Amino acid sequence: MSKGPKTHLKRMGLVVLGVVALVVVGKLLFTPGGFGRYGHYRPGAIDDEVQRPLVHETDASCDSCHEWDASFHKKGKHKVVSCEFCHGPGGRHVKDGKVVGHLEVQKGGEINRLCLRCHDGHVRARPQGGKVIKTVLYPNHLEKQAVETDHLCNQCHLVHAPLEYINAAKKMFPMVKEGENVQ
Amino acid sequence: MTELIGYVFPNEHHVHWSFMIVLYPYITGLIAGAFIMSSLYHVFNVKALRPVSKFSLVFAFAFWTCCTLPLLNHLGHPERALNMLITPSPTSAMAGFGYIYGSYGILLIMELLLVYRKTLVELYQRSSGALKKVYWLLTLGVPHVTPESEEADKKAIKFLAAIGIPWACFLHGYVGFIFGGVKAVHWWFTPLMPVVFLLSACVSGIAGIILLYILIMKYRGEEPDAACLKSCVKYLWGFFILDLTMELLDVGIHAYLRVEHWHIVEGLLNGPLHTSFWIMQLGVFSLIPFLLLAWMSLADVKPRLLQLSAAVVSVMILIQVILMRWNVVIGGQLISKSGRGYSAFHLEFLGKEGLLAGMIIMALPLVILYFLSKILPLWHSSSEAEA
Amino acid sequence: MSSNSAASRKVLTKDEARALIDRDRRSFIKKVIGGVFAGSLLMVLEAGSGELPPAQLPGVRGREYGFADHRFAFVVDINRCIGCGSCCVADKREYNVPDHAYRTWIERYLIAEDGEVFVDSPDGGLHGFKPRTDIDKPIRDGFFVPKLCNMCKDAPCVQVCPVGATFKTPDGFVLIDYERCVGCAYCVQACPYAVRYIHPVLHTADKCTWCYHRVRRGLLPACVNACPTKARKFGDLNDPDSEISKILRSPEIITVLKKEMGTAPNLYYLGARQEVM
Ligand code: HEC
Ligand code: HEC
Ligand code: HEC
Ligand code: HEC
Repeated sequence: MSKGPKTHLKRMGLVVLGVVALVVVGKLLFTPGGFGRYGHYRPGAIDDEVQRPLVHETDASCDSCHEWDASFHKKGKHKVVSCEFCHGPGGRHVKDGKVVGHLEVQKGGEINRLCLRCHDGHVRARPQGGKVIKTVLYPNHLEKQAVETDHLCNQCHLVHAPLEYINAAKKMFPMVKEGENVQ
Repeated sequence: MTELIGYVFPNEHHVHWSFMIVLYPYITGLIAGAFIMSSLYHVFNVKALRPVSKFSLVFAFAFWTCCTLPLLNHLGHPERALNMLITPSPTSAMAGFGYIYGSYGILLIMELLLVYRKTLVELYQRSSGALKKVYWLLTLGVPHVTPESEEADKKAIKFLAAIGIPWACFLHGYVGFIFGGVKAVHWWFTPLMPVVFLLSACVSGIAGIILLYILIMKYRGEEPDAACLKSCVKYLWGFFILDLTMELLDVGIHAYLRVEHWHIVEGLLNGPLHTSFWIMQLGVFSLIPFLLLAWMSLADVKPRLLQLSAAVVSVMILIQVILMRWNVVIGGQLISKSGRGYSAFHLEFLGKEGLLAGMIIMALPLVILYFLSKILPLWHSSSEAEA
Repeated sequence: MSSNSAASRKVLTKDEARALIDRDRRSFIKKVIGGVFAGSLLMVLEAGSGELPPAQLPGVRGREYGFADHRFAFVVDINRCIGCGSCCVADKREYNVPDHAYRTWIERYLIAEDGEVFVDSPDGGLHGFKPRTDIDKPIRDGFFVPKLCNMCKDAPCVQVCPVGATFKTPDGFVLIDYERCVGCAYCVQACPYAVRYIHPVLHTADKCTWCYHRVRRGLLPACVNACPTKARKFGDLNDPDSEISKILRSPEIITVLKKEMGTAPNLYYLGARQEVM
């Protein structure tokens, strides 16, 4: 093979072409299947996201087993509060119809903290006027009811239907309404 | 090192682009700057720069080999880095980097092989065994030179260097665009960003060359070429004037237009960045080098004094540029997108993306440079005729 | 979790379980806690296996999902948010979001008489809000602003992702391909709303997905499902009867965040004051 003054330059060009070809082949080889079907991405990624397991269910999923609690929940003011917010996600409790784990049930001071998270009137940025949420001042609320301030909210309010006992009491003793009203 | 101020969004307590992303544009800048230095000789025939023309090229190559290290160290999934080449997104300002950087490397290697062709042929003839094979490969299987082939090489080098200049500009201007194209970060979002990056790249590259040139020559007990040094200094001054103008213009535009976002940028510059931007970047490390450079370029400075002051100025400018990278990369992220506060950043020493890791990454190219110099002589031997 | 020792496993039919719960709820629970039913965690209830709860979004279940059939949108009603953080809790549980990373969060705005704006979001509102005691000025306005992914029609994160790991589905959701994401965090920089973060465990980008996996099962996003005041609303604009359609076609003042960014969000706000960023 004759080696002219430009042989090495030509070879260099060939090497560069070889590298380019390698890149092109590699690119084709490693591009995931279907890439670009909907856009510049792997369409399988959509399916991956769809396959993500459910953690939270809905309130309706608790009905079938906890009929009793659910029946109060449904008719009370708290029907808008999700069971799973207070107790934890259903996916960690029931899987494929099997109970697989405990959910939390607040006790003692935790209950007050839970209620005040939504009802604390000291937090100023809440919507005013009581249309969206009625707030109470703690411990004023308890003082107004003339009870010790270490009372828990659930001693008067049924957690699942907070006005249940109170309305019942009002029916029985209409005077409660006047003397011990809160605002 | 800054503290949290005001309200920042909950996801902004962590600065995601850390010290590594400060180093990355710093290194690409050094590459681009050094390459442009060598091209000044190869393309524009600036004879005075001949002594550093080969060195600049090897310098650029040494830094090129380490340029992706800070990136890889930063990535959450470095093992997927090649996705950038496999499925680069046409809409992303970052996706092109892999290809631009890769092709630039090919260009550098080609030019190196041609510039050092004669040396490689000699080495081939002197060596034996496995090493001989390596040199055979490096001469592309044509281990001899003729006057005609040298003539062809010279043309090829000129051609490569010529396309190399815009390519180097592209490489680094592009890095600037990665930042300049982020509309959500007001301190980055300016069309001047690529220009500022490019000019500061040239400045840092030239300063790096000057510094190492002086140091290596001193170490070898030789004298740096006075004329070469003087023109290096003049180029440095020229580029630095442009660079500084653009940097000031960038702030000036923000400040003068006074659109909504200026106020948060102003708060950044006068708050968390006060020291590193005004006092250090634009104060100490710009003003002093600027005056020194003017003096060195205009006055008739004695060679020894020139060497000393050139070395000092180069160090200061290298610091100025890294400060600028820091203030851009970290500074931009300190601004909360809430418009109501500034995030905090603490540079750790030992962490994965800490100072030590950064220092190692910055030292590595110098080590590589040292080993390269064992194979490829960095300086023209005195016997070598002027090309 | 499932049993490895059959002896400790008590199999109950659903009816048996219900009868038990109904007959003596408290003592049953006590027995369970007290270990009378040893290993109650392993207790298996037959029947009712793995069905989905009733659909919350009409027109998704029971037929092939057509990308073009839906145009989902999200509305946040600032005047209804009470800052309880139910949404944040639901979100964190649904995705096991690591601490100090937020797919969604709530900001509290307090605006003083003199116009000074105080904003905070302790832990993103995950634990609700305590009263602020550090402001001694009269406050003229206060409200909560829930934040989440804006699902921009022209999403900067999708634009800048170098590898196509952040993308927009044909039905308008911006999602992440956790298998291809390199974790460069460019999208984190590009998002004007700071809804993205690098997941400390996965080392990829992550953000709110509007619970795409729930939506495709005909369920509301977890945060919408958890919101007690309907401050968060989600629905299909192609369904003229959906609340979303009605709101977005009503004369109400509807805004998006950072309109000037040109991102065209699919997340709309009702009642957002001009101070909201
Ligand atoms: C398949 C029937 C079933 C369904 C569906 C179900 N549960 Fe339960 N749940 C049980 C049984 C059985 C127990 C008692 C055994 C135990 O504690 O694990 C229980 C216990 C509980 C407890 C009390 C735990 C204690 O320690 O006192 C709570 C709270 C609870 N469930 C909430 C829920 C909520 C909320 C849902 C809906 C997301 C739900 N459950 C759905 C069967 C069910
Ligand atoms: C506002 C928060 C809240 C909501 C919403 C809520 N719970 Fe409860 N739940 C509690 C608290 C607090 C307790 C424990 C204190 C008590 O029983 O007074 C409790 C107790 C329970 C128990 C324990 C049984 C018992 O009587 O000791 C069950 C089971 C239960 N809830 C199921 C449900 C189900 C099912 C729903 C939805 C239909 C629901 N809860 C909704 C707060 C809530
Ligand atoms: C997740 C937020 C949340 C939590 C936690 C919560 N509530 Fe409520 N509660 C509400 C909302 C919202 C309403 C209003 C529903 C409506 O007006 O339709 C409400 C209504 C009420 C009411 C009726 C007010 C009225 O007169 O209309 C009472 C009483 C009440 N809650 C007490 C409690 C108690 C006690 C607890 C603690 C066990 C509690 N709440 C926990 C959100 C919450
Ligand atoms: C001693 C009994 C008692 C206790 C304990 C108690 N409440 Fe009440 N609560 C009442 C009564 C009675 C009312 C008045 C209902 C009415 O006026 O219609 C009321 C009303 C409310 C209301 C509605 C206020 C409104 O404006 O209508 C809320 C909210 C509330 N309580 C929350 C709480 C919370 C939270 C706790 C725990 C910190 C709590 N309550 C503890 C008895 C009690």
